[in-house]
Amino acid sequence: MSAPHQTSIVLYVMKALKANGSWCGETHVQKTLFMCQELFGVRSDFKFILYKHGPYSFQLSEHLQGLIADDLIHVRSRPPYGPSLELSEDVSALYRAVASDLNLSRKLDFIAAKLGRKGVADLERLATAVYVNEKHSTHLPVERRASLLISLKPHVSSESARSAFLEVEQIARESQRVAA
Amino acid sequence: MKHNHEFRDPIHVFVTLDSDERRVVDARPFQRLRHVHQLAASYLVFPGATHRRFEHSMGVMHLAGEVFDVVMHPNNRHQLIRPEMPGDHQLGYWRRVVRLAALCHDIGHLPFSHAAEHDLLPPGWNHERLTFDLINSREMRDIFQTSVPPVNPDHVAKIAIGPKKLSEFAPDVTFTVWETLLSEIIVGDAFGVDRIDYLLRDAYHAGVVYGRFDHHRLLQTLRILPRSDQEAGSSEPWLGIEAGGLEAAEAMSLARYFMYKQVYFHHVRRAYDIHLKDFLKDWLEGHFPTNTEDHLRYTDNEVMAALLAAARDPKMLGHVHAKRFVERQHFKRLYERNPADQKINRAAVDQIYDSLVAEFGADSVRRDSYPPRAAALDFPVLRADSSIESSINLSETLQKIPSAAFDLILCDRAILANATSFLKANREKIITPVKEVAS
Repeated sequence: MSAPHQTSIVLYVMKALKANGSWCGETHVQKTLFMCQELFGVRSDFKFILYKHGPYSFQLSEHLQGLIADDLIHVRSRPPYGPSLELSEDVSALYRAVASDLNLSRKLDFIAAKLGRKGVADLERLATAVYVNEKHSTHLPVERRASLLISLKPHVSSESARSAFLEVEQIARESQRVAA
Repeated sequence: MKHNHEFRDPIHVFVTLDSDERRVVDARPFQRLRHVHQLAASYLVFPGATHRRFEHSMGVMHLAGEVFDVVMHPNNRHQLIRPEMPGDHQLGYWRRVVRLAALCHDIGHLPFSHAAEHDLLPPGWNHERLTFDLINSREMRDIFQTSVPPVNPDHVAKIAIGPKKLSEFAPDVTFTVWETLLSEIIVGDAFGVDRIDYLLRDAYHAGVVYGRFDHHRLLQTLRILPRSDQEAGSSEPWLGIEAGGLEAAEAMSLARYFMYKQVYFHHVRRAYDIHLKDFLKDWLEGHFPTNTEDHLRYTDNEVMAALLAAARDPKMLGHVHAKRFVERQHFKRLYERNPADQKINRAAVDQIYDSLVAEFGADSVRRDSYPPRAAALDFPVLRADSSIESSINLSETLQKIPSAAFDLILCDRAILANATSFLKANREKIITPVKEVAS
């Protein structure tokens, strides 16, 4: 995938998150793209591994840094929370290709709507639940999967881990309708 | 019998090792680092920069132990992250792992360090993968497993390389939160001791002051902190800092920026890197070996001997490139990425490079670049009122540090005058405005 097309997807996701009332931290962008990849098979060619707050792509992080360095996005301080990413003016031309691809944009919009207003703790447990489902199996009992999640992220409570799998299953069911 | 071994060091005064660590230093993979320059051929520009990976690796081990002791001190452990820490009885083991990992983090470097790495290894290989294989070699495993207490080589490899690079060639290896934290101590972007040591050491040897900062203050204020103390935030532990160390962290970020601009990106140094790489491609007739035994046979010394011989003999492979290197006939800077041309077209350097190659031939023109990346570092800061806040919120300096990047075109000095005139006459025709294309 070309770097301009990756840029197009990343900027569109940021626009969609903002449209859904998100403060759009890097974690929002990371987890939204991960969920789009896992639930819809959206290709962005960013490789995700388990790292900070769950599935994380160093390539995406570096891509965002490049966009900041090129003044296409800005980091805005947002006390007392973590920093927010803002689109610069006049970048809409750079994500026009994604916006006009309705099949792609509605998938990105759907996940952005689901995750946009979540805090980092929720993004972390949901994305890690998707990671556990992908690595193991959705056929394992929720209790077992919750234990696996906690072994990866010991600061997540048992109740939060269990509810994460239930919420992810709900999102997955709805995503099938969006994909159809 | 002596159990502590002291080495004099210009940066840390004394670096002290115990007998098990000394066995690692005495092993062939580590001794080889005595013959690998830390800054490749930068000594041709900064004559003092002849230091080697050997002393840098010892310095990284020294700092890694110091950071471990500070962040794991009972008074410095934040109550929210205590449950995620191993028990006190395990800390001695992990301290040893961190120091050994720091010691070994560079043992896979090729001759002349980074200068020769790109293009000179088979696809899928880099120096981190060679490091991984060397740590897991019979010779090193024997040392780790017979140390007191015995150390798992897999732990050393993971902590030395970190999740980012390890995932490139071992995607199924996962890190626990604790292992991630320990690898951050060594290779982390914010406070990795690899970076702390190379900035201080490179500045010292290059004879520039840009890389200096108050690293003593920085180290004493490092803490393992929950990422956030907000209700919606995650309490995942990250390497952060007490507010009193924020200025030292700012100074380190500035030091990094200046060192990249002044030393690592110096245009003559980059020219020598290019000639060295061109020579190695011819001399190796391919790439460096990836087998650990063969890897250990190559140091800067073998390469330099071949380079000097090739420079003298026109029949030898790589003669032209070796001659440029040895006789200081390096390519000269012709064009650099600049804001004015970038405003016309973000691909301006591509356009200039393509037109120069078309006019003067590919042999006479070279391009070297490092992509722009934002330098703002986001890490948790523990404030005096015990609240935790993002560094970005607290430091305007960290928000505003520019990215260090370059995109450089160099040319054979034989065509420099003509190429300069060509660019002057044709620049406006070459750099044409093009609308951004999204796909």
